[in-house]
Amino acid sequence: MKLKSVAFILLFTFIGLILLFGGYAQWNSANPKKTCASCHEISPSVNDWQTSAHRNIRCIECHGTALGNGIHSMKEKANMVFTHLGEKKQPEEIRMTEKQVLEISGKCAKCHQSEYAKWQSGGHSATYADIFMNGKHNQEETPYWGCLRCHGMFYEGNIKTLLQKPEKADGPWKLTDMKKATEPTMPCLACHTVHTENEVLGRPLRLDIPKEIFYGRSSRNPSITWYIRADRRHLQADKLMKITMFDKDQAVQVSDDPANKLCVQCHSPNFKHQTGSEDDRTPTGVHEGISCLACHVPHSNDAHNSCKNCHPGFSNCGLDVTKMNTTFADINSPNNIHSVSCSNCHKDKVSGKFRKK
Amino acid sequence: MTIRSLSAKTDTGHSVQSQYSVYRKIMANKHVNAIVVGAGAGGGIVAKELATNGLSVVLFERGEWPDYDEHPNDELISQRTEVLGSPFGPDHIKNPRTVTYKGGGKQIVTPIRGGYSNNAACVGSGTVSYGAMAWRFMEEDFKLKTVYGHVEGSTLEDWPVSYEDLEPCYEKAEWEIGVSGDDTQNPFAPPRKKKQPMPPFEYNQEAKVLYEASKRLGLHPFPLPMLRNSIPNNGRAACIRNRTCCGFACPVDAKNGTQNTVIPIAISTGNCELRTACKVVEIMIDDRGKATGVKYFDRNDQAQIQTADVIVVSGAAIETARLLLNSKSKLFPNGAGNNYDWVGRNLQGHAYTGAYGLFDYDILDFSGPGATVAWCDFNHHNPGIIGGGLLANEFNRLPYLYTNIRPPGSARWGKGHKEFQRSMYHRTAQVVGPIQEMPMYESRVTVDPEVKDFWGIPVASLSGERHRLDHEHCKFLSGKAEEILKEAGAYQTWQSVGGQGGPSGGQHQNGTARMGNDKKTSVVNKYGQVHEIDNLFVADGSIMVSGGGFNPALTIMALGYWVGGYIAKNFAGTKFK
Amino acid sequence: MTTSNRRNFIKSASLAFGSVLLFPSCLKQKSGYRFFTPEESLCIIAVCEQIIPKDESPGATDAGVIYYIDRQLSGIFHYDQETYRNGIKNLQEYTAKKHGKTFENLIFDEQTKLLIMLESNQLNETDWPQGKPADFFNLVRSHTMQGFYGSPIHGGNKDYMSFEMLRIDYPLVIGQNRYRT
Repeated sequence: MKLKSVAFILLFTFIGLILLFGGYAQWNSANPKKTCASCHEISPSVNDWQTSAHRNIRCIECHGTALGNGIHSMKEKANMVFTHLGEKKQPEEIRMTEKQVLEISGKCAKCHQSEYAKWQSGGHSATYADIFMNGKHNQEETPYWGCLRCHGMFYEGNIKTLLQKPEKADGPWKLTDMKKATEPTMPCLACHTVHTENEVLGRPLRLDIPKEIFYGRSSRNPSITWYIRADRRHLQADKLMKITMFDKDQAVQVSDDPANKLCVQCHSPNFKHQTGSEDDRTPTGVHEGISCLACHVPHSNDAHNSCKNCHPGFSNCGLDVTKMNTTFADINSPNNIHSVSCSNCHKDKVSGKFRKK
Repeated sequence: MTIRSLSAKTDTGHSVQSQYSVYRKIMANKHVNAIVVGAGAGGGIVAKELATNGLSVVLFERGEWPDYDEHPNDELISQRTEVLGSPFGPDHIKNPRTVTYKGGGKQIVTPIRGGYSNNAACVGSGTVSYGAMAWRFMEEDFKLKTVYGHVEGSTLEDWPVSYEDLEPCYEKAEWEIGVSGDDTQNPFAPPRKKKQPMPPFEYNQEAKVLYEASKRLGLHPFPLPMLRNSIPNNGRAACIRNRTCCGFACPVDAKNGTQNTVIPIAISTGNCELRTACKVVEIMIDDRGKATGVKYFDRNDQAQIQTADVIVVSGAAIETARLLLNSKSKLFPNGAGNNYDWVGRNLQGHAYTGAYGLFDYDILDFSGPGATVAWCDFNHHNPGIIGGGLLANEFNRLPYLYTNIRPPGSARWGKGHKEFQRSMYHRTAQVVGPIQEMPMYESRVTVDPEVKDFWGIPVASLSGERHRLDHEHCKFLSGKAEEILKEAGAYQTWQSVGGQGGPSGGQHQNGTARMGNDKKTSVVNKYGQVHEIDNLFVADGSIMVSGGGFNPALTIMALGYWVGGYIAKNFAGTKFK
Repeated sequence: MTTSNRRNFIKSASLAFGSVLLFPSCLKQKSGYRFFTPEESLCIIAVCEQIIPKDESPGATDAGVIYYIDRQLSGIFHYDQETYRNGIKNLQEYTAKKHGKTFENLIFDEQTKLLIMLESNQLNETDWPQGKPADFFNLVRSHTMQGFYGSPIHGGNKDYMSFEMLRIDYPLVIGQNRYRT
């Protein structure tokens, strides 16, 4: 008699668990409007997603942590329930942790393989070790909290908790958590946001059209955003302020490409907004008014093959520009490609036909 | 012995946080040579002076190390416009005060409500987020009574120290903390032996216009001296002219305060232990009138005791007075050093007064800090005015602050107000300065008989009013400011005259434990030593007799070197002579 | 285990499973605001729009100032809750009495006239029973200014629109400031 009861209980429990896990998996993969978003805190994000370029992709494909089906996700889910019932956080205080951000950025790679590979090959995939453990750099410029504005923007903590000051001035700097050493400091979400209104297939950059070269994409790509560490939010690139740049006292023509406004947030000039100061790369000279993306391929920022987009068609010289004396050809050249102008080489007057616009 | 049993609970292993995560184990509460209460402008320097001279020091600070990552560039949570909170403390719920306005009742105030007179509560205190003007007082500022005579209704008095006494301390402060400026352009500057270590800042656009205009008027404009790096200095960057400066921490650490100069030096000697989140609530004084130690609440709100040979209080005028008044003992039933009722009296600050001017072009370029040119023509020897004040162009006005800056009769809200905000934001210049206030015996800090803070300690209660001459003097200085703006080409100017109401106080609070040679009319002697308690010192703005017509930070730092130097020189064994 | 125990067990188990499905609805809130009722929010939105109206730049409604006020009233400004509740009640009752409508349904100029009266305390005790009209108006005015010109992190100034209007750079562009020690 007893054995039969125990068997019944076990059977019920077993079926119950299957239903539970099955229901749970179904919940995670279902339309969020019927499940998660029936609580109002998350519905703004869900509404944004429904009008975004990723509207046909389920939450679980990108949000791999709390929305997965493993033990790890259930722990996160339980944590969320406790926080919700206990701590009473306000919606604006709910943020993704850096770990979650990096997991999502890893998932981007599943579909956006080409972009991910390009990013990996370029300078924007620098890791915490590359940026923060460079002894020579740290000796010359003491790390401070502002560093995290551009690389390490999702780090939860401050510069004091990230780095360990070494015993000797020049050697060796260590991260307090060495597991971070291989983590990227500028993941996808530094410049992109998914939850924003967008067309499903964005229009690609057409570098054979002069307008695209000189003024950059005029169409808005709302998913290009800048993650503002100070305010812990993304802001769309076209809503960023267009900074008036100056070359000594003259205002410089700057492209209207929203991507330019994004680039200058990190590659920023000094307080007088002088071109070429500090990290600024706003082009002046022959390239004045051209968008960054005219030469720098997005994600890899590689510019090596970009000259042929315009030259020799738009070159006023008719010469092979890749061989001219600029930093493109030789990094030690005195003529920086971002600021090179005709008068760098032609000290005498240049005829009207060839004068820069 | 009593001390051992009371200190049974040791600090629960919280580490001293230095610049990076280099942790040290906290020492148990064993007896030390010196306690410094408050790691601010004065306290940080005293701790360093004592530690570098071999004394063991415990530096108490009720706040934390400033976290630059919280609230950067948020105007509503800035130390200047504390609408939604104070980024550098104190906790606005746990630390109320009470204020009694003239003719009104008593009100309980928090740092985000007016009348609180907040400074800051973190390591470095006000020097983390201040505007960082670096002024030496003029020689006359130390002997106002001799120069101007008695003032009816005011406790105006000479300092027992002179400018010559403090000159070496000013120099130390300028070189160790780091000041940029050029006094050779200021004909009113007091004599100095060594120039400032860093060259002056270049003028911003507003300053250039005002410079030319004031020269035409026959005034003597010069670059504002600042406790700010104009060139890379001390391993830290030069100022990047950030738009949001006064009230904020510096993103490149170019603003010099005690938290990035002397306090790390003190800690690195190995003699100084900084205990953050520790609120000192009482100074223990034995029956012979000697200070034996302090009672404090640690990070976990456990009561603890720390004993020392010498105790230095540097909590800024209001909290220092509160601490002294709360430290009752057999020989001092009204509070430490308060047998003649001078502790908490003469609370002063600086009434700010000046003028605004509207221009028909974008005169502001919004490069920080905003204030770059100054005039000392009106500090002294103005006919019919006692003292005076400096004038300077003002720190950048941020958007919310600007909503209340309007010519008289302007719309306060609606379309007109918004139109003004949009079109005139870059076109409004301001010249403003702090007026030398007339100290009032009745403008004071007491402890409230009913209201207590989170730890059960009676809170500070501010009461009293300003001297009527403050408003007159403010009118004078505003008039001078308006003249400069008119000459500069402003098509409309208006004055903003301060100096009314009271009590005084504010961020430049001083005067509550004044120096003097007579114990019946002062609290400390010329070395900051409390009369009748030989091993209790005060080293902050409280010991100032008068506030000067200048921002007080550099003077408080100089007093820190003065008092700290005296203690270090005269300390011998465990008996303080 | 007896039959009745098993039955109870099944009953309670199915109840437990079923109740999980009810979770979302228990936690659903009535309106999108934390403090205001929907009717109160309409009134305050109208007052804020009067204080900072839309002209060639966006106004208080576009900037979402109501969310700033709502958030702060349920947090750090909780002591102002009574002033708001009473003020809105008084305002709505007065406009119903005088114009037969709620405040937000008055035309723009009528609203402006009424607020001017509030600001100068021209309403007596019968028309404004609790508190002083000027206190209420000045409070809403300062909150509106804070919400519109303050940082978006507090709920208002959506996408930094007021900073754009003022032509100040946001986010702050901070160059690296290279130096050698």
